[in-house]
Formats: sequence, C-alpha cells, structure tokens
Amino acid sequence: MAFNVLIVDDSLPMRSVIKRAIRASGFSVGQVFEASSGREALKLLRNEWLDLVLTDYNMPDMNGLELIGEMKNDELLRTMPAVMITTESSRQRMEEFIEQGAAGYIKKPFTPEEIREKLNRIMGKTEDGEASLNNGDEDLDF
Amino acid sequence: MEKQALITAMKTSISEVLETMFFLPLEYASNTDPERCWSLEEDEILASKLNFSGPFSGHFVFLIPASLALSLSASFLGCDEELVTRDHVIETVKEIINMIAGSTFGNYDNSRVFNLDIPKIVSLGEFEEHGSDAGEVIFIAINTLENHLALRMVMTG
Repeated sequence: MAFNVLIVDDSLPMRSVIKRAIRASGFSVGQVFEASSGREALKLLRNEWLDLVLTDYNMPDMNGLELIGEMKNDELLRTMPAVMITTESSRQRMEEFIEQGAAGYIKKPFTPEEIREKLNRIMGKTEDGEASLNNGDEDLDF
Repeated sequence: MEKQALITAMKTSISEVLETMFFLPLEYASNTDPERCWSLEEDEILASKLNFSGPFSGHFVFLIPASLALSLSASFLGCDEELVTRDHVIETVKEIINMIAGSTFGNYDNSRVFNLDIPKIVSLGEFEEHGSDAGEVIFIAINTLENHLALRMVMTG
C-alpha cells in the first residue's frame, strides 16, 4: 500500500527536501501534497484523501502542535497520524508532542533512512515493507 | 553554562547539518575574526539571526557567502542554480541556522528546554552591532571547499 502524505512547512526548500527524502527513503509513498501553513493544511486535509501528515513545529500563525490540536478536534481527522518534523530536541518537548497527539517525531537534520524507519514504524510496517502486528504506536524510540 | 561544552555542541551540530543534509565537507578554523574569513568589501555575505531563550538567553548569527548559499539552496531544492530565487536562498539560510541552533541545544543538554524564535536575515551592520552586546561570545569559523562560513553565539542573560 502506498501512503498519501501531506508535508506542512512554511519553508519551501524544507518541503522540497522532505519530499525528496521520503521518495529516496524507500518508504511506500503515493501522492505527496504540500502546505505552507497550518490553515492551508487543514483545507487540504478536508478535501484530499490523505494517510499521513508530516508537520514542522516552528511555523508562524499556527505551529505544528496547534495544527495537531485542530486535527484532534475534527471528527474526520482525529485518527490520522501526524508526525512532527522539528529542530526541537529537549526530551520534555518531545514528550509534549506525544502527549498532545503526535504519532511520533523526526529531528532535523535527518537522513532518508531515519525517515523510512520512523514512518514504517508509525504506519505499522516492518523494515521489509510487510504489515506488522502492532499498531505502530509502541516501541517508538522517543 | 560550560563554554567548552557549548563549543563542542555547536561544532557537532554544524557538522550534522551541513554534512548530513548538504554533503558539505568541513574543517574548523582557528581564527575568531570575521574580517579574516572574507574580503567583506568584495564578497556578499548573508547573515541570519535566531534569538533563543531558556536556562540562558541570547542569539545565534550564521554567516555564509551568497554564492555558497545559492549552491546549497539548489542542492536543497534539487534543481539547477538558475532556477533558484533570492527567496529560496534566504529560506535555505534561515533553515540552516534553525537546524544548527536546535541541534546545538539537543547536543548540549537535552534535559533542558530552549525556545527558538523564527530566524530572520539581518544586515552585516546589525551583525557587527550585536557583536558588541554585553555577554559571552562564541565564534566558530568554518572552512569548506573554497569558501568560509561562520557561526556566532552571543549569550546575553
């Protein structure tokens, strides 16, 4: 199964890098959508068939956690996994991301291999691409 | 705060960001004077600044020649340099300082929370002005291929 992904970041170069890293990683990706803000992301989420959101944390107007909060308050979006891609690196902030509904996080700078490993685990797949028995929210190395 | 631990964290982070994401070979230089890095009259140097707060506060300034920033931006975007706009270059430079700053604090002490502001581009004049702020200053000069980069951290409180 190929997953449709939404990348949310106010920086166009960063969206471009994330997009290429996902494609290069070997993660099973279908269509990739981009949004430059949380508001634009919410519009796309309500109008497109998406499986996974990768969002920056530090964005003007609506940060990544606020976007996840909006998704959790929306009946149609609340179960969609959202992964924080962030330069934040304190343990406390990572715990806050998970407590507030992020399915996981990826620290910048990242490699395609790190992206594949994290996304496969979050989407419940093993490294060889087969579906695993757990639901992807266990054993993440937070 | 331990200055040496911060210097080590900054160097580790610079390497992580520039080598991992841009495949840029680096070498750390011993000079601590920006005027010895470039001919400031001849080279256009971009300066990005990021304020931070937390257990201690201050800011980072990252200096990079515009020509190298253009090349890194093209690499980031995965396109030819001719297609890269000035806005792309600025966004890339801001993203670099954002990643280096976040990674520095993670490498320094990930049990403490530092808040990072949104990075911005500043003039070299402003860079010089902030160099005279009261507070501890760390300046790291970096050599790469035929270019020079620099990162300065100023702790003001």
